[in-house]
Amino acid sequence: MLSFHIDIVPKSFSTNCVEKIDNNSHNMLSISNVTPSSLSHSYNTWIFRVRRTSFIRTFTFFAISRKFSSDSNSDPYPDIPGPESCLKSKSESETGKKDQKSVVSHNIITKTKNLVDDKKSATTIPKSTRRGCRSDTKGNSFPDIFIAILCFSFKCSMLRLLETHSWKTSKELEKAIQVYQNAKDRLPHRAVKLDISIERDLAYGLKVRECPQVLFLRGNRIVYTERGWHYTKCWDFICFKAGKPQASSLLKMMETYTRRGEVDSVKHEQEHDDNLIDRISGLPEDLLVRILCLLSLKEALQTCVLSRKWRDLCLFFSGSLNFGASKTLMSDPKKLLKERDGFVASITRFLNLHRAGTIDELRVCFDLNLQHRRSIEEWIEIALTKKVKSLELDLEPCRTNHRRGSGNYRFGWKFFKSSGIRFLISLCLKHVDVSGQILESFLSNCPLLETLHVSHTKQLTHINVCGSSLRLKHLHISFCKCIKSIEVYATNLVTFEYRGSRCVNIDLKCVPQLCDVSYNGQWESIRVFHLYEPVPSFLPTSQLVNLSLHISYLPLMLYAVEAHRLIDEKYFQSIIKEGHRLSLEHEKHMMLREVEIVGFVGAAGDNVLVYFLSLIAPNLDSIVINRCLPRWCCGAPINKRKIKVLEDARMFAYDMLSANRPKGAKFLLL
Amino acid sequence: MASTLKKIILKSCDGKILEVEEAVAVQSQMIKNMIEDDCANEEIPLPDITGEILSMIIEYCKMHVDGENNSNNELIARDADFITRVDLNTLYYLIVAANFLNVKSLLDLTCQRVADIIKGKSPEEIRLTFNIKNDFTPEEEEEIRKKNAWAFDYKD
Repeated sequence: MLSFHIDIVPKSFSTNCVEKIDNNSHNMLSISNVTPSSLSHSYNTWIFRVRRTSFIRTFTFFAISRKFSSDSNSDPYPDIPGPESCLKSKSESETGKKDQKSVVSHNIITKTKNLVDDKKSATTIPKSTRRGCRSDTKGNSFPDIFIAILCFSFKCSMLRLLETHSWKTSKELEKAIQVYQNAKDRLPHRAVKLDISIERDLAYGLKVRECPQVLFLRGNRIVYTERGWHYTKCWDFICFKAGKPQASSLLKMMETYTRRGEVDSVKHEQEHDDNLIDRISGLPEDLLVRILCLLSLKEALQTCVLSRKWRDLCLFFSGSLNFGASKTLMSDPKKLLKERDGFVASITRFLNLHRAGTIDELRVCFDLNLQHRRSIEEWIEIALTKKVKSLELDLEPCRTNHRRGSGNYRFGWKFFKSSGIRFLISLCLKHVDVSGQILESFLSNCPLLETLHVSHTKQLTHINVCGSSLRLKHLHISFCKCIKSIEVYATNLVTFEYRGSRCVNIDLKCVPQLCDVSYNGQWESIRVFHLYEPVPSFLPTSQLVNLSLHISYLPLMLYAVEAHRLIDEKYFQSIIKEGHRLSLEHEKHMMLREVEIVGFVGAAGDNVLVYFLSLIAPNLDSIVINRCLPRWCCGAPINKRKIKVLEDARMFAYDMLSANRPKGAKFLLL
Repeated sequence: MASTLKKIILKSCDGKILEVEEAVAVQSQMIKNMIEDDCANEEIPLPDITGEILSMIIEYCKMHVDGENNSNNELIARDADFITRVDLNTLYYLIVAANFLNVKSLLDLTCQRVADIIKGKSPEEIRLTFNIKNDFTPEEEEEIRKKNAWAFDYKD
């Protein structure tokens, strides 16, 4: 007991089809498929096709209206025939068997085409057509109309199917079309008119570069317009709200297209009505904050544009406040300088608004200098009042901007007034000027401090890490130009790392826990045959487990001269002998398990050192010989032939060392 | 040994009654507190938790009780398997229920899952994923974006 009027584009939703339609607008056909002649139900489907820019190739609009007659209790939701059946019935309609209704729907199509086709003027719609529409709908009630919006972008597809109850009658639809039509004179031609209960999010969903204006209507009123989108992502999902048979048959239709490969992917995401409800925003705020804290600061900040509910939630973010310039920005110094003030202002603004009682970490990683002293101090003070646990300042200047006119930020005394300093567990200062006294004050004022990392500071000359109650576990001092002495008396110290090119006086006293040492000092003596200090004498012998030695680099030229001699077994035996002699003079490291030697080139001194180490550490698991040269090394350029000689010498050295190694020792060449 | 086999009776909001071993039930801090206060002898009504969600939570707790002896990695893999089977709506109900029952490991797991879903998405994609309605005017939104330009402009 029903009749269908399905208007469908002739072939498919493919891009070819769009072109075809553009070339020949007569291809849009009205197809009617009349099942039993009695018309208790009537379905009208309008497919409005809209020519779009190259990004969204087509924009298709479905409107399915359901018309009940008073005696209709039987099967209110008959299936809409799939595209095949529509196409079959095409011939029927072509041969002039169209009943009045199909003509009407065709008229609507024609009208819509006029609406959407930017080549045609909206005002050319014949009056009679509109009249026809009205006469059709008069007296019939349409309890609800399904509107599906199908949108196929160039590569992927998006389908959003929405059910609406706001379209009480098809008259409303007609009115809306008229509104749109009238609006067309004022708005750009290729505007697309849609739905009703549609949310503005869809607008974002459809964001496509150079997208024409989209306008939304509710009833006969324009509720929302948007233009100038610049979003290029393709969408590959479907959301739909109608769990009713009409919707699912439409979906089936879509699936047919998917099978044919005309649509890349149609994913049926959700089926039930309640799937369009925004549940997550309904969670209690403390849970939302908990979720936010699992994100990075950047990601958490981005959620503040989601909706009003989310706007201020990120102010309760209590995780790691990591304000860092991205790598792309770091590699573009000009842009970085331009953005710097904005960056500083946004940190200040955020920290001033920040509401959480505590902060895990404050990390600022940007090219800032003494000029920004006030801001930096303000940030640190706020962080300290929030009991920050980890503080890191990495103010590395970007390459081309070597602190013109303004020096490094200088760490002052003022923070010691704050009681929040007691909670500090980790302090990391890079490219910040800080004196030994200030660091010592930190050590005495921060009872929980476990990690101290200082690098690239010019002020530091002497540091004295002393105190019987120190918790300090990790001490890392590197590339401090003026450093002369390091004195450590820390019972809990586990790792100690020193890097730098200066000869420095290191004194490690009372470090019973120390087991991990990485050392890279100026080590000129080691390259020549006569090795005065094979292993830094400050190292405790009793408990050291891991040792990483960075052999400072002698210009490769010198090594190249020596290389010819190195590939000589006799010469090598004398090297081994020297290593053996040295080891007898040296105390044994019984606990040492792993040694890494960075910057091994195979020079005589290197070989002596490796052999010597394998002797003084009888329980060694392995010696890792790392050939990569430290970053800061630079040698005179040498030609390829010489490199080959060097490589040969190195491999020879490695083979010789392996052959003569003491029992149990293992060499690993990296 | 009788005490370890003691059953706790839980009643969901839709009337489903589930018997759970005490060892499993005490994964929930709330039920544990009730047992300690000796209020768990009768059935415990759980408003706002449907039978479906409740049985999922019990499945999860059982998994953790049974897996106590397993290695940590195995448990993590099982957790991951459990949580990826859950759709967004169920995830929401799980969070609410885990929060109410105070099952810390499940709450961590579900919150982490939501965070993982949010990660790497633009605000527009997040809105579409969770059906969050944008109630800002375009001008307001633009202003918020401007203020936090640092977070929006540069991708790593």
